Amino acid sequence: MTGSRIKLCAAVVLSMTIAPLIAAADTIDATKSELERVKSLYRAITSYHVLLHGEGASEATVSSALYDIERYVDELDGRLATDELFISDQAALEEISDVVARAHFQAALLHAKGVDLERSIVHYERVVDLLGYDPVNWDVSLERSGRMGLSPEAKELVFEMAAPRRVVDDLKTFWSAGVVTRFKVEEYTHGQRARFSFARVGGRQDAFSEAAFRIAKERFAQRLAAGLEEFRVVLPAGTYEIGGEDETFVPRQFAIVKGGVPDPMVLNPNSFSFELAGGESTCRPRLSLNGVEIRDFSNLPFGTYRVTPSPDCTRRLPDRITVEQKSEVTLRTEPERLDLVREGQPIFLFITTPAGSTYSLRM
Amino acid sequence: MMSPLTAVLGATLAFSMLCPPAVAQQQVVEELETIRKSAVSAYNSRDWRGAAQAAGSFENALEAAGLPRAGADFALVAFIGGHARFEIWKQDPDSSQHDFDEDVIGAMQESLKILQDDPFFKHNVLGTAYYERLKHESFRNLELENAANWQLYKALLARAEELESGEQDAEALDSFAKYVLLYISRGFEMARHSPAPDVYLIRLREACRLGFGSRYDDRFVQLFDVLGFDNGNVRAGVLWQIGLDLMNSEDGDPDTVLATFREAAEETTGRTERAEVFRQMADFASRLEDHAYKLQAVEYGRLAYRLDPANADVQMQFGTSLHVMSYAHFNSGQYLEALKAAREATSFEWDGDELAYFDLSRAQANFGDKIDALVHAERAYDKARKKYVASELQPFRQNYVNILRQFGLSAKARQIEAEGQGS
Repeated sequence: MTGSRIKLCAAVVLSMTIAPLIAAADTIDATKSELERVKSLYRAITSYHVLLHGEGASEATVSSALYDIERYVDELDGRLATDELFISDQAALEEISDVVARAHFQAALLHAKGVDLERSIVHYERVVDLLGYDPVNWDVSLERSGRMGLSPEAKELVFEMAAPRRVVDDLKTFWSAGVVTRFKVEEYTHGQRARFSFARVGGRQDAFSEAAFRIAKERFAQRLAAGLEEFRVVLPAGTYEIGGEDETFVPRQFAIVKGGVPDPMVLNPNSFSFELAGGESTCRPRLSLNGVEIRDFSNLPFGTYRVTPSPDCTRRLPDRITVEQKSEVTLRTEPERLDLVREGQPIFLFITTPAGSTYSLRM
Repeated sequence: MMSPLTAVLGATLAFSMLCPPAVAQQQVVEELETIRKSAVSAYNSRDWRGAAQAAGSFENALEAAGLPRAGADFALVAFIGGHARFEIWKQDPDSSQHDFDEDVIGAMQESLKILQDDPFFKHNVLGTAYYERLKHESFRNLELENAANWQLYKALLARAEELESGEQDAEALDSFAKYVLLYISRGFEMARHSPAPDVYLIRLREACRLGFGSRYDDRFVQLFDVLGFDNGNVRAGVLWQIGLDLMNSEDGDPDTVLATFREAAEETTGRTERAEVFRQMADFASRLEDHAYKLQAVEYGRLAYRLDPANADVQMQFGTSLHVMSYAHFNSGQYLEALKAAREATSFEWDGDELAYFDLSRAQANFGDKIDALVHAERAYDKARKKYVASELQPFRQNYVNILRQFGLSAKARQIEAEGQGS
């Protein structure tokens, strides 16, 4: 009787000792499995390099590949968010987070290769978020490009590996082909916005620029449809025209220069006029709006005008004049006190004026 | 006339105006619970119209009560509604009253944002809805195609994870492998028509990986390989595999099989790969009964030979097809055609060309071309002696003997005949 009771007690003690061990083992296995799953999803993302290798990929292939990559990365983000709640092993969690950061790095590179520069930048920013530092200094090796192997039935994919610094250089090269362009859409009704047309009327006609514009055009339309009044779109260098179906819509052209920082493109059906009054005739400046020179100073669109004085002008003219539609006329300059302007320092002029008014510039 | 449901809702609203808010709220909760149960019950018994109607009533009741489209019950009913409307649409797509994007896809997506239980089933239903819609649009909608693939693949990922973390039940693993094969089969159909077939190299190989190690491992390995056919020319590989599968199926219509292979050949860019497709077509056509197919076999064999003349399999297929033609022509008295086919079959070397020399010798003999007939009959016999014995060799010997006799060379004929008696 006593013996069996002892045995029973021993069994209870043993089971109490083993139970947490089993639970811990289960947790370890679950964490390990999760890490494997995350790595497998990462591996799938890298496979898409094969499709975006070289310049032969069709628009449909690029768009489908980028669609998949976005879904994979979303899946990884979702997993990481959940894992942070349930995985207590910090080392494992960091490893998962690293894989997710790598995935975003790949997504940044693959989107850049697929000429979706805007999404590329978004993914790169996520890498910085996840790592908490500049990925240039990250001590890992990353898939930089991939292609089909040469074995029968091309079973293997071959990757070129590189340090993050090198991949960041690649990204910068891609990004430099696109220019972040700001749009301000004012006073148009929803219906009018929906009828805007957007065309690329000048610039290099290479596959990269054309594909980048296709994506930009799509984003432009999406943001208009969403009712945004201010938004950004990444455009390749070139000349563009925005039109509308409305007869009263005056088509607007603008030019984007590689590496430039363009002024916002203001789309507003109303206009104003400049009148150049008084002063030396030798100082009559040339004005350009969004990279396009203005010859007639009446009925001008709102926006930022770049001022180029004639070479003979001895007086200092503002470098830029930004004109916004407001019910009241106001004027301010930057720097505020022009008598303190140093040599080489730009002068900006900010004007608000009602629609249809004529603003007199004394130059 | 007022429907019973409208009457209930009307009464509810009237009641809510007269009674304190808490009581009215309770009334709404009860009403929603009743509709939810009715939706679930109709759904479980596959009464799609009943389920769709109940789901619609649930949403209307929520809206009437000013309640948000939120909560597990709403998500459950929204999914039921989306799925039920999909089944109704599938029965007769052209007369469906529902907006597919909003009432089918939209409802399920809205549900999945809130309630993600049973992910395999739900993503599979949603993926299937995208797929069927794509099919209805003759596979010409890249957005639907991309969404169908992702949802179906996500369903598989979810199931794989469930299986990993649960018990490794053999039946469940088999069933999963079959689902993977179903997805791949749908993927093949999509890749066949897709403007972006190359992307399936990744999509379907990823799916194949889920099936490795299963009972259908060989099939998954084969599918994985075929996606790399013609240096990763996925559409060609997919058509090639569809053709092979059709060929091996019991009810595969020969013309459909050949048309699919022809499509595969047109898509294939590599010379040797293209030759292999034509060779397979020649092989398939040569095994069909109709004479017209035998003629086609020769043509496909010729195309294969032109592309890859050094390939022994291609040589043999072309040579064999020509032999079959020559033999058939000879037996039907079309000696000139028999001669032409035999000449072509002896214009190159192939494993089995003793048959071609046999055909050539007797066709030439028929036209009185004594020397050539004798030379070729002897060559056929010599080649055959190196490969065959006894009864397999006998036709070649007999052909040589017959031709010797035909041209008055009886002594030599007896000598050759005697060789046979000793064997």
